[in-house]
Amino acid sequence: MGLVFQSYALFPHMTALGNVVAAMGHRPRAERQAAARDLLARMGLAGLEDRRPAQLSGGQQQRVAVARALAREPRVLLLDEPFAALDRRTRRSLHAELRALRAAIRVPILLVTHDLDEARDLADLLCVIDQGETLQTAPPHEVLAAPTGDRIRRALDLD
Amino acid sequence: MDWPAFALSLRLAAATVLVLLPLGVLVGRWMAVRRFRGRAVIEALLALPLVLPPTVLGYFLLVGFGNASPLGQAWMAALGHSLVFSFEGLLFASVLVNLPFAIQPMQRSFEAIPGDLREAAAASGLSPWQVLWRIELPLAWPGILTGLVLSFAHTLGEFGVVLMVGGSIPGETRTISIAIYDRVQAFDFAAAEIMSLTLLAMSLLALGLAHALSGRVAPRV
Repeated sequence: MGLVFQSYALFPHMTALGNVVAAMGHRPRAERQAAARDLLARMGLAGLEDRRPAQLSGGQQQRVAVARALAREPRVLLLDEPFAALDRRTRRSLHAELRALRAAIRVPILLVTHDLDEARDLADLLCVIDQGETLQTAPPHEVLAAPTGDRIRRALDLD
Repeated sequence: MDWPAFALSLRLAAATVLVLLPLGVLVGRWMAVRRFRGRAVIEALLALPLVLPPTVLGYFLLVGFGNASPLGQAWMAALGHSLVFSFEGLLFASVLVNLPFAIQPMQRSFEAIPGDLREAAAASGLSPWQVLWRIELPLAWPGILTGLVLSFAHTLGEFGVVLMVGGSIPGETRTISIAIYDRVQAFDFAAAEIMSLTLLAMSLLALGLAHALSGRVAPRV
C-alpha cells in the first residue's frame, strides 16, 4: 500500500529525487536513481529533480509525494484527505492533476475525503462509511440518485 | 598560565562530549517521541543539575561513588585505584552535571520533527535505524551540536563538582577553573587573569556558536 499523507510529509532535507530514492530500498542500488527519475518524469516533474520540497509548489509537492508512494510499487495508493487543507482554486487544479494521474498509472487509488462534491467529481466508485460501517458502495451517481437508506441520506446530508 | 590544567580541562571536556553524544541523542530522542507515565519525574531528574548547588551534587557523588560505596569498591577491585579523585571519577561527575545541557537542546530538535515525517519514512520502507540515521539526525543536527557545544563550554568552567569529587591533583584532576582559584589564593593575579580571559573567550565563542546554530532549526515542509 502506497501512502500519501495529508501534509505530504516530504523529507525537507532531501531533493525531490532523494525523496523518491529513499523509498526504493527494496530495489538494487544501481537501479534506484534511474527508476526514480523515470517516476518523477511520469509525474510531470522532469527538471525539478534537484529541488527541495520548500522550493516546489503545493501541487508539485503532492506529485513528489505520490511518486514516493509509487516507488514502493504498491498495489493500492491511499490518499488521505490530500485536498483538505487547500483553498478552492488550488483544490480544483489538483483535482485535474489527480484525474491525469489516474489515467497515467494503473494502480487503483483509494481517496479518503469528507467532501461529497470532491468524491462525486473524482470517484469511479463511491464507498460511504459512517461510524466505521460501510453503508453503500456504488458509482457516485447511483449513490446520489438512489441512496439505499435513511442513514446514507443523513450521512451525506442529501435531504 | 597552567598549561597542564588547561590541557586537562580540554581533555575532560572532549571526553564528556564524546560520552554525551550517543547518550544525549538516545535519551533526547526517547524523551521527544515517547509518552509514558513518570515522564515528568524523569524530565525533572534530568534537569536537576541546572538548579542543584554544585557542592550538593558533589557531595552526593562523593558518597555515591566514594571508596566506601558499592560502586567505588567495585571500581577499586576492578582497576586498582579509587574512582573519586581520579580522571575517570571527574568524567563521571562531568557527564552527570552536563546531562541537561546536552539533552535539552537535542530533545527540542527531535520534538521539532513533525510526527508524520517518521510515519512517512516507515511507510517508505525505512527501518527504525534508517529513519534515525537518514531522516531524524540530518534534521536534528543543529540541536545536537548545540548540546555538545554547551556541554563542552560548561565542562571547561565547572568548579564546585570538580573540586568536590576531584580535589586538585595536578595533571589528574586540577582543571583550569580550579587552577584559577589556586592562583588567586596565592595572590598570583597575573596568572589568574590570563586563564580567566582564556575561559571568557572560549565561553563567548561557544555561546556564539550555539546561538548561530539555534537559528538553523529543522526546515518544515
